[in-house]
Parts: sequence; C-alpha cells; structure tokens
Amino acid sequence: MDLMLSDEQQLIVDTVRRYVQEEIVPLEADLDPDAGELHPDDQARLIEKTRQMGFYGLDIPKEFGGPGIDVTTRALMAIEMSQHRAGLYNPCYGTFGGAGLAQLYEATDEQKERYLFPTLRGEKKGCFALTEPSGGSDPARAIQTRGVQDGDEWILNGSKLYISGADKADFALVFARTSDDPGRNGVTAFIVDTDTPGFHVRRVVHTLRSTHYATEIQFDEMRVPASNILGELNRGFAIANDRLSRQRIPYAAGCLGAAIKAQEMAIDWAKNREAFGGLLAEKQAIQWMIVDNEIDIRHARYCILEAAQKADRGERFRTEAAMAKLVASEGSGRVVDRAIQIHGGVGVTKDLPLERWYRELRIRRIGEGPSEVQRLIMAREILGGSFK
Amino acid sequence: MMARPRRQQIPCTAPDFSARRDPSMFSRMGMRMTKPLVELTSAVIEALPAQLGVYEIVDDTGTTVKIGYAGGNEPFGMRTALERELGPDRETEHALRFRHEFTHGYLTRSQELLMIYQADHGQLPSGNARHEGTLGRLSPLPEAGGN
Repeated sequence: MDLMLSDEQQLIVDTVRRYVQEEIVPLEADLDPDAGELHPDDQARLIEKTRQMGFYGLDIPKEFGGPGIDVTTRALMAIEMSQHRAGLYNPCYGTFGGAGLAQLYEATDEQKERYLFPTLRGEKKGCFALTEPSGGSDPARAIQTRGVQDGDEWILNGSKLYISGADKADFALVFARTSDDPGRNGVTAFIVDTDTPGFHVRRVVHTLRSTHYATEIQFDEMRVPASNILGELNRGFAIANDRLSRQRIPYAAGCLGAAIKAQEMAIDWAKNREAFGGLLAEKQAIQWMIVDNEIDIRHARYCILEAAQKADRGERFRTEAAMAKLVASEGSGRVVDRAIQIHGGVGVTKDLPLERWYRELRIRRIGEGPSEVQRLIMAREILGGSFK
Repeated sequence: MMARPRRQQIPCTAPDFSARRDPSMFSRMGMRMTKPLVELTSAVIEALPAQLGVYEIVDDTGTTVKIGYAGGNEPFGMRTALERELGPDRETEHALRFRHEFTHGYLTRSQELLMIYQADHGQLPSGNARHEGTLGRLSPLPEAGGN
C-alpha cells in the first residue's frame, strides 16, 4: 500500500488545511463552544470561496456536477476538514456542500427532478429515516413501520428514532416493512414529503452531542403515492445497506482529524507546561501517552487509506471500511482522552475543544454502525458466511 | 437460618421502546418547561449557581417574551445571561418573572423549547424574532408534559 501522497493530493491537503486554519478556526473564537453553525453571512461567503476553489459539492458524483474526487483524496480532505472545534459533526460548517441522500442517485428520472436536483441546488433538504425504537444495528429485522397498499397509494404507520434533520427536511427517505418477510426482503424505501398528512416530528432527542439533536418521528395513517417508492418493492434494504457501507471511510477519516489535532495540542502543551521542576514532555508518563496517541493515529490512518485505495481500485472494501471505522472511532476516542489527561484541568473546560470531541467521539463508536457490528461484518468475511 | 434480605429493587428508568408503537407513549416525555416562575431580580439571580442552561422570561400578562440560554461563553453562566436581561441591552422590556433549567445541552434544549412554543402558539416569543425561519417543525402532542 502506498502511503505517499501524490503532488496533486498534497496540494489539495495543503489547501484545505490552510482554509481550515485561516477561514474556519478564527470564526470559532466568537461562537459558542458547542455551536454547530456559522452566521449565515459567513456561511455564504465561505461557500463562494469553496466554489471558487472547485471543491463545492465534494460528494456529488461527477455526472451530476460534482468535482469527481477519488475516495483516497476525499478521505485525506476529511482528515483535514475535521480539525476544528465543530469539525467532527459539521466539517467546515458544511461550506464544502452536501451530496444530498446518496440513494437518490438511483431514483427514477421523475424522482430525481422532484427530489435529487433541488437538493443538489440547495433548495430542498432530505433526511434518512431507518432506525426505529425497536433497534438500529440490525435494521432489516428491527423495522416495524408497516406499509399497506391501497390502490395507487401506500399507507404507512409506525415511528422512527434518532433521525437527524427530520424537523427541517422537505422530504424523508422512509424504510417500511411491506411484506410478511421478517428480514431484509420485506423492506421498501419510500420518498415521503414531510408535509404529508400523518407525518409528525414528535420530539427532540437530546444526546451527548449538544449542538445538534436527533428526532423521533411518527407516521399516522400516512398516505404515500406508489410512484414515490425508491428502487424496487421489498428491495429497500439494499438501498439502505449501500449507504451504510459507503459512509464508513469519510466517517473514519473525520474521527482521525480530531485525533490528529488533539495530539498536536497535547504535544504543544507538554513542551511548554512545567511541573515538578521540568517540562511535562520530559516525564515518561506523558511521553508514553504521546507515543500511544501516535500509535493509534498511525493505525487509523493506515486502515483508512487501505480501505480508500481498495475502493479506488474497484476492489471489494467492505471489511477494510469496517476496520477503518472501528479503529478510527475507538482509537481517536483514546487519543482525545489522553490529550485531556495531559492537559489536566483545562482539558475538561470549554476553553478547549477537547471536551467536545471527547463527547462527540463517544457517539462515533455507535454511529454508522457500532464497533460490534463492524466486527460482525469483518468476521463474516474472514470466516465466510457458511458458519451462520 | 436467617432469611437472606431481598436486594433493593432499583426502578428501571429506561423507556420501554417495545411499547412505543402506542402513540400515547410520546406524551410521557417531559418537553415543556413547567417549573414555577420566580421574580427576575438581581437578588434572585445572584443566588443562582453559575451553571449553563436555558431560561424562559414571562411578562406581567403571563406572556412568554423570550426563551434563551446561558452558553459556554458566559463568564458566570446563568447569572450572566439573566443579568443581561435586566440590563440596558436587554431584548425584552417587560421581563418580570422567569424559570430555568440547568443543562449542558443548552443549545438543543433552547431550540426544542422554541419549536414547542411555535407549535403551541403559531409564533415565536417577541424576544426571539431573530430565530424566525431558522427553526424546525415539531408537532408534540398537546399533553406532552413538563418537568
């Protein structure tokens, strides 16, 4: 595996790093420590800047107007983009644009006109409604939201939990059970306009991530046209699963970015802070924590780049993506924990971003599939599926 | 032989998600602020802990005039934020009483309170005009209680 960056990749990394340091970090000085959004004027100015840089809409496929960046370069950018206070969950405050819901690239032409293109133009927002109160790690079996056909419409009843952005979304991608099959072959994906009668955002779900809430939504006799089925009837889980695999590489890279920044802060602190007649950096207890951080960082970097390079070569990367997600989310949590320990009291204050990353990285071990599910994915491939 | 004392039963406070299909379960969540209102005076504010959290200010007619939060940049948390409501730069004119909650999730909790207020009243408190158009839509059940 080649860990060297090409000249072009190095140029992109340097550009993004400079953008974060010169444009994003200074703005955060005036924001609440838990803030998740920029002032709209700053947001608009910076979006214009990333457009000029040619980086806006990073995750949009080239055929839909995106810059056509390969997975490895995208991962390298994600590592840089998360190196600021809000970087874990809102890298560069979204100024590099979103891709909308990736599943919509598989939509019919009519669905693309109504949902995908307006989303790419920034006119509509969508949300992804898969997890239910009955479970999220095994969604194919946990889904209890029920869809029943009535002529040209489907009637949906049920609820979804931990759904981000449902309260501000114009449409939702809703997964419902539409046959008696209790597993993955009985789930259908529906595109639902959120102003449809029967669509209710019932409550905010508060988490460790205090800048951004999830929601619980309820469907009460909600009628959805059959033309709003995304993909094939009873084949919706494949659509959901595809997203779950693809997201893991940039998700892991985002974790690593925060860890790298925390390590930089810890080293800087250790080299300048004195205790017991010498610098912290001279104490073996601190040196070992710094070294352990470096081991976790390099391990995660290796796994992320291996997964990304396999994806770029068109090879199967499911195990590598799962490993990258697991190693980066768990390792980065340890790095930030040690960085807090090295900083002492100031490490747990809101004066530094460490306490925020500490809270948010705890969620990363669960989001996009918990560590245990990542191990399950790897075990299936390593051992083969026949042992089931 | 002495009977072994029974272990104390610890109530399980985790929500019963298996029963969530019953829509009435939504109403068991404490969402609205229902603590008693107290006078908004410097003496009352000084007695508060300097913690982070959210607050609601109500005028002499009982109308909510502002929902705000004491965030991580406030030198003395809730005290600083509420003192500002009494000062010359205050955003509301008739602030008389208030209630508050201490929470580290002050950003999401204040947004939640504003969305609930908007759902209940069709508009935001007068002191929250700058939030117009920035909030999501929430449709809590009317009986979704408080704390």
